[in-house]
Amino acid sequence: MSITIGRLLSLVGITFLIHSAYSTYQHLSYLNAVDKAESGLPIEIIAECLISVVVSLVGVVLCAGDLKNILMENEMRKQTIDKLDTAPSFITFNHRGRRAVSAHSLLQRRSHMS
Amino acid sequence: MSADAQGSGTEDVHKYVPMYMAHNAKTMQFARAGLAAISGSAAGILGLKNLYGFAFYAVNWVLISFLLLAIKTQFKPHLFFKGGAKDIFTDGFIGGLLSYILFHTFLYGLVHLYQ
Repeated sequence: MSITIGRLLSLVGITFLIHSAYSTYQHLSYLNAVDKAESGLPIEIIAECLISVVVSLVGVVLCAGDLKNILMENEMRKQTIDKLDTAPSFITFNHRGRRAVSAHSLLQRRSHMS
Repeated sequence: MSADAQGSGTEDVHKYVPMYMAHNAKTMQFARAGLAAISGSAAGILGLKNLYGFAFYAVNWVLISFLLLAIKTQFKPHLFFKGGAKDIFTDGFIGGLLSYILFHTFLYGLVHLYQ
């Protein structure tokens, strides 16, 4: 959501920045045409430029993705002990599963025979 | 002494998640690149010269650092950066300045020089 708003804001800001660039260009060429040696831009263009900078900076900041918490304790809180403390030595092969499998296959054979 | 340095290094690995630190640095870099492009273009359009241009960059830098501090970290920078608020305000200042000068030159040439 904030990324969409950020993209919209930076697009609007950059559009107005380009518009102020064009306005400046036009103003300078007008000054050239009428042979006025005037320095300094009109306040409207300066205001447009500065406001569009602020708007697009806010847009860029909203556009950048969220930061992630770097503290390890915060990361560890999400993990389970089974996930963290796993090792091959903890695997047990000698359990009731073997009996269960043999009983299951026996039952299956019987049901096939009948 | 070297054992001391090594000890603090391994402590960092246990204290922070390196993957997330890299992710945060990348996000910051994106914002700073945007700052350099936009404020450099604006300075070029306004035709700022010598110290005024650097002052404009400094003002914009403080502005975007404050925005990042307020919007992205909600004023809790120590949760996202190893150095806290200092990392937000100092990292990448010179690198951004070079991109800023590049964009300033481009827009200044486009608007002010080629009439």
